[in-house]
Amino acid sequence: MPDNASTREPLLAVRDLTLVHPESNVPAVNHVSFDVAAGEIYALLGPSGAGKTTILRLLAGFEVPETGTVSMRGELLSGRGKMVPPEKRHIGFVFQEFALFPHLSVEENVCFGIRVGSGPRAHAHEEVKACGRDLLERMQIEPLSARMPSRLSGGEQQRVALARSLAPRPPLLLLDEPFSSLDADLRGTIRSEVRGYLKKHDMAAIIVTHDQEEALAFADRVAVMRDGRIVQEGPAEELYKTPKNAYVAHFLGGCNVLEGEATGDRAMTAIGEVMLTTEATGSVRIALRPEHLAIETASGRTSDTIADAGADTHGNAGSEGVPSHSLATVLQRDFHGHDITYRVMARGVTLIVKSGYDASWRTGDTVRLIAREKGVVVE
Amino acid sequence: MRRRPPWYLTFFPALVSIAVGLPIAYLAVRASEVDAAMLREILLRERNLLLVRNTLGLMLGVIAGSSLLAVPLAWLATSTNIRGRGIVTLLSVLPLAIPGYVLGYSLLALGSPYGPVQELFGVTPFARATGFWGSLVALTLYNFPFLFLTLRTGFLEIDPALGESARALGLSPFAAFRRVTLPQLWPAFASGALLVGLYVLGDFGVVSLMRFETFSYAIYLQYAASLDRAYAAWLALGLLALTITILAIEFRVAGRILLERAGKGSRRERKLFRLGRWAWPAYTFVGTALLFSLALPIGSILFWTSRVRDFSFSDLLPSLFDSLSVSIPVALVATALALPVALLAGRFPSGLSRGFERGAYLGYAIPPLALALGFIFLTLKSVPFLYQSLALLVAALSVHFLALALSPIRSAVRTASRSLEEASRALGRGRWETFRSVSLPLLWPGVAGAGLLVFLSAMKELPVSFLLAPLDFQSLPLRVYGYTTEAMFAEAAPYALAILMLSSLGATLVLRVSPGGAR
Repeated sequence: MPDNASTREPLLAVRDLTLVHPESNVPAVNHVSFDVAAGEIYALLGPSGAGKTTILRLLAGFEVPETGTVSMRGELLSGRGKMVPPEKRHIGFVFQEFALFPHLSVEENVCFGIRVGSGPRAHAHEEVKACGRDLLERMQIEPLSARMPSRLSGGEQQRVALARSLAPRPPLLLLDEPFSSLDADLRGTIRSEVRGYLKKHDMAAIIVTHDQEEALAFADRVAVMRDGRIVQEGPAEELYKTPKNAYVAHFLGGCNVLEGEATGDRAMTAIGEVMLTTEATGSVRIALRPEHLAIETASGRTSDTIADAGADTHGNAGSEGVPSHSLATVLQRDFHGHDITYRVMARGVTLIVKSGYDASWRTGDTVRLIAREKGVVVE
Repeated sequence: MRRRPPWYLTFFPALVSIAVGLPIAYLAVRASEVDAAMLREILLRERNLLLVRNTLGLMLGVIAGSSLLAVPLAWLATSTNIRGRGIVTLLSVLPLAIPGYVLGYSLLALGSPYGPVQELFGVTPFARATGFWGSLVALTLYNFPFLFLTLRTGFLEIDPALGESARALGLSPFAAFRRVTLPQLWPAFASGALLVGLYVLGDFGVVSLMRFETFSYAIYLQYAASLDRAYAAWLALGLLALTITILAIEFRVAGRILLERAGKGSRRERKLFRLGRWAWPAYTFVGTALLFSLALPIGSILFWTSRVRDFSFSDLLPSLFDSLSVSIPVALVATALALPVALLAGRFPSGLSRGFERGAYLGYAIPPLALALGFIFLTLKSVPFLYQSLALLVAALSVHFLALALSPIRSAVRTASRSLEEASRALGRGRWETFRSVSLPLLWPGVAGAGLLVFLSAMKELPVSFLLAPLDFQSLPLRVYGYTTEAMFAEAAPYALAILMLSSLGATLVLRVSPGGAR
């Protein structure tokens, strides 16, 4: 098979997948379709109850879909009356609840899925142990290898679960909230270890998370889910920069949504004129990220303008110099160390602004808000 | 995501519920086969009132007596700095190894002519059956360990932080105990008292040896002596109604039926009460309790064993063989049937699966004589060739003891969760491989423990065997019972000793199965 063709064809193809909750009759997964390429990391992002875990269970072969198909490398796994058993799919699974075998030690758990040759005794092989040790080291749990799972903390159990699923190097690995029990320090390290391992061995992965930061940092492509459907999918940065609607915009980190009157490539809003990524006319909703806004000190004569800003009307919008409605008041200042978050009120609209660590405006200051990036018109 | 259980996980539990329900139904059928005049005569007998009064009086008496022993012992063994708490615990559970009728035998044998008391002191304190008081003592000594075990768990499960926070909220030590600790102990006490009460209602061996007229004894008399089966059926229904009333009260009061004990001991180090100068009274109490519950009965059995002439071990073998020929099949059948009931309840929780589980527990809770009588009516009506067959005895005992197997298997099923099987499948192991390397190793200890528990319980079972046994069937318990009713204490002794040794194994097993048992 020529190389190009094999990279073109997706590793995993999901088409029109649906599964209905038997109790409530509400679809947990509602006509979902997506592709994952070989070696690609794909994230399913959404609030709990959006159907993310159910999708993973459908892919792994634990659930039978009502409609739709799952195929890998062109071979049908689920759907049209076919159901390949989980062990024949070569799809790994990291469980949210870890599911470590309580009767096996850490090392035996990690080596459980590795086979050299065939036959049940194959996993006692030296090569297998070496592979297990390598992963225990990467997950920083090597000293625990002889322990039983019941004697591990939650974070340790989660790392054993990760090591166990990585060890057989399946072409596709499903990860259900795989870093949720790790504390902040360790989370970054383990995340990049796992990502490095996946990329090194050309393994594709689907990660389920409700943490947008994790999805953006870990995945190549992100799908935002709501009520069993994929709302929008795309490369992480693209999704972040051009969300399709307010839901996606909000879910991928804080976002200001402003009402505005669009005329072509720009729109008039509470903070003044904002450039748009796409042309539009009439009433629009515009998304602007907190870090895409900048605060400037209002110029000298603004204090006069402020005085009548309260009683102001639309009459003087677009007048010479600084339009009065672009003036704003600082409501709150939250110092986070690496940055500062401001809540700023502009003509009755509250906006979130992220500034550098050295920003010095105080509560009550009169300021001006500038859009540093083009606003995104959302549904 | 909820799935439908496979057919066999519904079929077998349904079968179990039917096997419990049918004998009860036939009891009602047989009871209804009397004409109106006869019925009026049966229901209005003055003796019925006496039976109710005697049965309830004995039950309450045994619960009170057991509390007097079990509450202090459980508190001493869990919450004080008494020395040898492990030994106190072990010795408080060990009386379970002496079945009620063996206790009855040993008490009667103790005071009988030529018995140890006469030998030592030259007096014969009680020559023969002693009615209420004899029954009360024998049943209390046998039953208090049940209450001890549940109370012990109750004491161990109390989070010491709760008492401390009550103190921090301004309560005195006594007020904290009364308002915080005691209410937490109540469910443990209620479930223990339920076990004791149900046992007393169903007991047949002790009351018949002591000749105290309770429902069970009356059923036995009607069935065995006067052969009035309609009246026996009515008495059994009365006993059943009493049992169900008590179950219902318990269900209301404690909000849950015991038998399924869950929970873990608190991880935090418990602060122990320092006995100080109360240490010696505490030791005296423990010593006295154990003298009566262990030393006297065992001493009595050993005394009479020493009086046995011309008896060799091989004389035991026919009885041992009869016992084994029932107990082994019962252990296998009850465990095999408990597995689907536990799997259905654990993996596919629903109203139906809980119903099936309750059905299985009912088979254990209903008085054994009533169950056995139901089985007799059932076979005589529909499958007469099975009457007095070994197969019928095995079937009835399996239904009766299935609930015993349920608890250990339920906790094993909880360990061997479905997600573990899924994890194994996702790691490339097939259905059979997964069963072999994951599910079986996790289920096995529970299943084996359940089998052993049922086996040992069946080895010492008396009432069901008494009614259903084939004509020439002479298991160890039937031997002890038969000889004792004839006051042949020396002849009974070797069989009693054999049962004692077998069921000591059972008591240690119960201790290991119960939570916190390893400590």
